[in-house]
Amino acid sequence: MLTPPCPRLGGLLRLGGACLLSLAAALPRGTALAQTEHRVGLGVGYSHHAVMDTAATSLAYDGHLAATSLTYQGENGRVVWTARLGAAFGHMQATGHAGRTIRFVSREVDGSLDSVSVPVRASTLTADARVRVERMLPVGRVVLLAGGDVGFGLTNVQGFAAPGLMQMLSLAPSLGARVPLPNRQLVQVSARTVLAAWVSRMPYDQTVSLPGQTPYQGLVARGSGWRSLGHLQTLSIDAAYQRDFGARGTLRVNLALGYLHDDWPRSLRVIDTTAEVSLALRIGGRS
Amino acid sequence: MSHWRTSHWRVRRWVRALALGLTAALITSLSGCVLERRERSATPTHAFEQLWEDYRAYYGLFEVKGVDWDALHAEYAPRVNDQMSDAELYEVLVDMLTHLDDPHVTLYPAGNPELPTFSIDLVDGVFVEPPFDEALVEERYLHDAATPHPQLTYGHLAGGVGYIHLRSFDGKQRDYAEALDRALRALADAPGLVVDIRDNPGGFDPLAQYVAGRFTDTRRAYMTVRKRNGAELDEFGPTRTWYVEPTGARRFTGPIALLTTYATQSAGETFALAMRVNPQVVQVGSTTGGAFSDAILRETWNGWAYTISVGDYRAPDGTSFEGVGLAPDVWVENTYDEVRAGRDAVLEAATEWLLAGPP
Repeated sequence: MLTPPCPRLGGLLRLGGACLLSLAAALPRGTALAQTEHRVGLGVGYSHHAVMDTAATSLAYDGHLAATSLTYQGENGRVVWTARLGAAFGHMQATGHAGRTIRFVSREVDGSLDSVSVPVRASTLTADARVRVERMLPVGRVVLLAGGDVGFGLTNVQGFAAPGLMQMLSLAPSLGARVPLPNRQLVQVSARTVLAAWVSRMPYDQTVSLPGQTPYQGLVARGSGWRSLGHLQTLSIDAAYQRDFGARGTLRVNLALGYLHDDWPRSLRVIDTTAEVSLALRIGGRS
Repeated sequence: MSHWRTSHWRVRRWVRALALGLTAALITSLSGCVLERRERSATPTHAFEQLWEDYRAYYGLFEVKGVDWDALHAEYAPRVNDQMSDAELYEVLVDMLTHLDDPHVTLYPAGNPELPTFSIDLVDGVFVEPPFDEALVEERYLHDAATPHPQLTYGHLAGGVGYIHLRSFDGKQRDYAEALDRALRALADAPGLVVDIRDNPGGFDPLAQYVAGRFTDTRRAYMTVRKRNGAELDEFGPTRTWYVEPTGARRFTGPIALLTTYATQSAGETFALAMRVNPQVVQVGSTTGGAFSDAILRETWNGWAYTISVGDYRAPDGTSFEGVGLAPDVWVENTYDEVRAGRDAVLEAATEWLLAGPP
């Protein structure tokens, strides 16, 4: 299942990019804005990260993470294009075993005992970057959104047990619907699933030491490979409420649910739930 | 009417917010339930079976140790039942794991402070530090101790002999490189060098390989490694040969005394393997710990954790030193009383050997 990652990566990304661009180019003229509208937003929120990585441990881990994001979104009535940088940080503990510690005791040369208790938890940092392009298709009151994204996600877990996905570069189509409401409000729901991805996870033996290699190089060399739907299944659902206010402001509330299953080297399941509030500066205007 | 509409909108807004919050809470709690359902089987029997299966799937030294793991299951499984206490389960697991005779096999009964950590190199959960005191070395024997990196101290001993203490191989190679450049520049004219790893518990093997490259003049094979790659007992990945070769801007290739004790373990020992292939290196002190392989940590359903040696590390001629350790060329041991009285006999012997010149 593992294949050399790099030679095919560029080709896949170019293909994905070309698909997104041709989709955008084929858009019909219709409800175009007189002026393109841009939003740059900063969000803060809360994320619950739950992991069951049987390659690393028999225990499920979960944790409460503080989340933040920086988003740029542009739209012209036919196309929405979005670039997002997100990060979350916190600690995970084994579900149902919170507060565990491991005690290390040593007898020093002078005969005294030195004791250290270390909590069994994992500091967790997740980060993601994503570029998405969607076509807007008005159907009555509703605007359908169809497109896709190229994204990179990273999870860095440091602790006694280090369950989870390490990094993933993915190509995912997305579908969504937007319902405009009175008073410059809207509600939007979208879903995406990864079709193909280049994934790095700790290899079967859970070690990354290779002669002359750094830990990251060892991880990439030993634990990376291409995945398609047969081995990797994901589903992300995003619900948002948005309201413009004043001349330049936008308030957005997001609730996102993500599920991932990967089967190499052993089963990994991740469920992420994120609630986020963001304030955006709006540039440009509606027709 | 207008007031009624405003109130109506407010109510709808609150209902929407409440629905959103409830949905979030529901999804969050569901995600925990979905993933944790297997943990409800945290009985002693399941905990025993999980631990036994994990060692079967990951342990890389059954052949080296001559241990029949399946036979041990037949011996110990009947002693486990779901009515037994934590202490009784702990006793069975310790009895079974003792057969592996591996300092890298550790059982942490996390969450039960009454039970000590088990490993064959612990006494009732206590690791007894070797008779070595770095403060004594720095204060009594070094003229000009410097610590350019938290894991590295260097200086000059009597007769201008150089000294480098490597506490571990944890950290970034770039930081070690800078510290080693400083140390080796300062010690360039030394007639010999003491490399002290008596309290080095290990770290990252490629970093140890890099540091060893500062003390060699040519490329030499020093170790072969294969690691478990599947659940069957004989499933291993490819065997890789590790070489030590010149690294960095500055090196020391004169006579070297490498100081070791039983606390020299893991990457500390793979470093010793790499150093020993150099003809100008003599190992002084006592036998290393005998725990070469990378070890991983796993957990069983009752929350206890344990480490498993996943690799089969050998010298290039096929010899395994797991559980045996690397015996020194010159055997010298400190006593605790000597160290407490301010004497490091091992360091003195190494310095004398270097000043006398290689035989």
